[in-house]
Amino acid sequence: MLEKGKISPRQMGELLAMIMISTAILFVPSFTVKLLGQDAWLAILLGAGFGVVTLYFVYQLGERHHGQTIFQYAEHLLGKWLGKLVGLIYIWTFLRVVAIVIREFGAFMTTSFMPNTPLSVFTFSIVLLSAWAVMAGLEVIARMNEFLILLVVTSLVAVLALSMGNWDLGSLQPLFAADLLLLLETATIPEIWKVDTITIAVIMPFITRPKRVLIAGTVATLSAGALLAIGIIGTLAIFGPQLLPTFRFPLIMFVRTINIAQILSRFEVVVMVVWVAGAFLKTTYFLYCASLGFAQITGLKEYRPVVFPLGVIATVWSFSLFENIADLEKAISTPSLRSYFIYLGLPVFLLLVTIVREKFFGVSFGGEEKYE
Amino acid sequence: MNKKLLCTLIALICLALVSTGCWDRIEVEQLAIVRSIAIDYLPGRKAPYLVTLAISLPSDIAGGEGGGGGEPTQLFSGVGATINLALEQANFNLSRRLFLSHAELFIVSEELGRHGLTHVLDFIVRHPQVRLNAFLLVTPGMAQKCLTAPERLEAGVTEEIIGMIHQAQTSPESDPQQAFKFLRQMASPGQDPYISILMLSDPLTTVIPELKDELKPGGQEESSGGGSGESGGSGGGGGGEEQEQVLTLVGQAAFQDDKLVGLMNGVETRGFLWFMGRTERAVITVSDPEDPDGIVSTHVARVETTIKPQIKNGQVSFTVQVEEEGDIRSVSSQTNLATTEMIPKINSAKAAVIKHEMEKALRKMQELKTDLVGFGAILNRKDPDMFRQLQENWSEEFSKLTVDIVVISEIRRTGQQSGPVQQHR
Repeated sequence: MLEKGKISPRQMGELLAMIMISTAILFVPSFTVKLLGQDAWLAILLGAGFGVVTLYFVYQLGERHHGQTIFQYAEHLLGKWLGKLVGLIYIWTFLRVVAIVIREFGAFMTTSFMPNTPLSVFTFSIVLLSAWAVMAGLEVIARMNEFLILLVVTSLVAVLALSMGNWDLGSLQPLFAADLLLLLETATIPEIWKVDTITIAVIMPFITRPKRVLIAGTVATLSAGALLAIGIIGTLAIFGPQLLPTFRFPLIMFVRTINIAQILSRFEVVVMVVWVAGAFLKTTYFLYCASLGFAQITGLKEYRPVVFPLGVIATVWSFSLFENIADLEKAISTPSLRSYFIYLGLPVFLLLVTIVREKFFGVSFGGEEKYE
Repeated sequence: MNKKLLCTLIALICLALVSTGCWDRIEVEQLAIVRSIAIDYLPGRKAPYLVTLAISLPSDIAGGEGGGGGEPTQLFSGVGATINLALEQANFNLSRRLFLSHAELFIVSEELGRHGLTHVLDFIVRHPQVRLNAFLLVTPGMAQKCLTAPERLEAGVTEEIIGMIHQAQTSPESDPQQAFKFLRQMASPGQDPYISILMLSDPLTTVIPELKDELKPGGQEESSGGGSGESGGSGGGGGGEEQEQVLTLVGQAAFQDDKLVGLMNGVETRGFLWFMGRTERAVITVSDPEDPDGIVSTHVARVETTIKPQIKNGQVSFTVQVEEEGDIRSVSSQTNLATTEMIPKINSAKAAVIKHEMEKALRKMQELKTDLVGFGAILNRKDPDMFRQLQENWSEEFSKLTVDIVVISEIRRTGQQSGPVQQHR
């Protein structure tokens, strides 16, 4: 076993919720409202629901291949080379998430707070810190998150509550005016579709009570979706569906409008705290998943030696992936066939192969008896 | 051993690199803290934007001594083809770096308003330091002059104007807008934006000749002049100096998209505020039903306005219902108003005055073709399909709109006095 630590289902749920909230608060409100107007919050809720669908397939896979990560059972199911290819696809996906998150992190910090600081300062520091945290293992990441999520959720709730004086819920009307097809399509954009649940396929063997993964994951995904939907409702209630999409980071504009009794104002720092903590955790978590996967498909005894090289690859990738902020926004706001394949097609296919081979060929994929 | 030493060394070097702090670090003493920005438009020039910055000295803010160390506010100006160029030019005269995070006020001239505010609004949104809850104000004449007005009750001119804004928000003189609210109104279909007017007006001493004559002979006797009961007039009393103009916040400018199309005076603005249900503390006067010379002043305590669209045979009309409650503040005649017969009479007279005021405002808005109330937005919320048909030329539709105004007015109390002031005959 590459990972000796164990985390509880609750810690897993908190991890999931954290990585969903953190990135979704920055770019998402702007382009969702651009597409759907005042019904944007519906897409967020729907996206959370779709995330649960992915979670369900991944959970079924994990149940049937007890004690194995997706990199291991893909090899068992599809043979050595095809299995490794599937593993590589997921490593590529996770690294790409790392690259996008650190680029978003840098773009946000330079746009909103420190325009003269080079992007690389933010990128390097967050990757270094994350790689260091990955070295400590999953258990440490999960425990660190228990503290950070408290900070993030309370800050967000506090900011939303403080702004309520300016809310005009009339701007949510007329309700349900958006085109249904467009709504469904928007909900499958990876930043809205809570595809982070796919990572459960990697960490499921390290969860103490695997039976509870589904319920804990569902609760986490739906509550993260609800919090984000309330966030969008809040920003909509202040700016209205026409003005909001003209802002790059509506949440920053949102907290800048808070001014209670001339004393409680200037809450940008709170958003920065939320975002730094969130981006750090998301980078750490996905770098961990990629490193573990890489070690498993190459048959290493330790995943630690590959953490830094993968971090370097992600850093370089984050620079080369997008030319400028418009490029970045376009990349994260368009639905792609690739994401359907990776987050839905492939897990379903693996599950089908498992069921067929169990049912018709009588193959047993380990499973319960091994660990109970 | 050796490896450990190497690691420590590398860590130390890394720490040394980070300890210099971030690129954008700057100390407070090196900042010029901008409190308000006045923007003028000089048409026909290559560099039309004249930007004037009111800069507070941080030591004065912290110390709170105010007048102790010279002027609390300094003005710096620059001109340029864009606001940023003008700011750069203003920077030539500055010994510190400009810092706009504390700019709470943007004053634009009427000329700039007529030219269009797009550039100003874009600047406000795009700049990383400028805040969206800064207030926007329009002034007839030069915006720069507003900042040169002397502060009277507060520490600086910005604080003075901000104080006036907060005052205005709880009284029916005008409705000062924060930048984001203006942006939002501008972006919403079926709604036109407005900005309150700040102007320099002559003090009462120049308006009322008698008062001027009274004050002229002896500059030292100003205290006796103030004691004669003219509390408004004593405001101009700056000793023997030339009377300075005073800042006034009243009325509002109506915009079509980003362009100013007309100004509404104080009365019309109050009429408009009835539509928003925002006229608490207004004083309404009606004549005494018994004695035509007598004037009854009433004070508005509570207002509630509901606006409902009605669609009949494809024709849109609106019903505005105002429910108002208040009490009597003063009576200039000898009539006893606190009777069950008199109060309904005053109620209906008051309702008529309110309705008249609202109609006046509505007529003005329809004349300017600016839907400041947002009738279109209300229709859009209730019946989006209907609104979509009218959206194309809503301003035309609005100028022909039928609006039924229903005012229900009540007198609840008559003040500390129950009858008239008693005189023995």
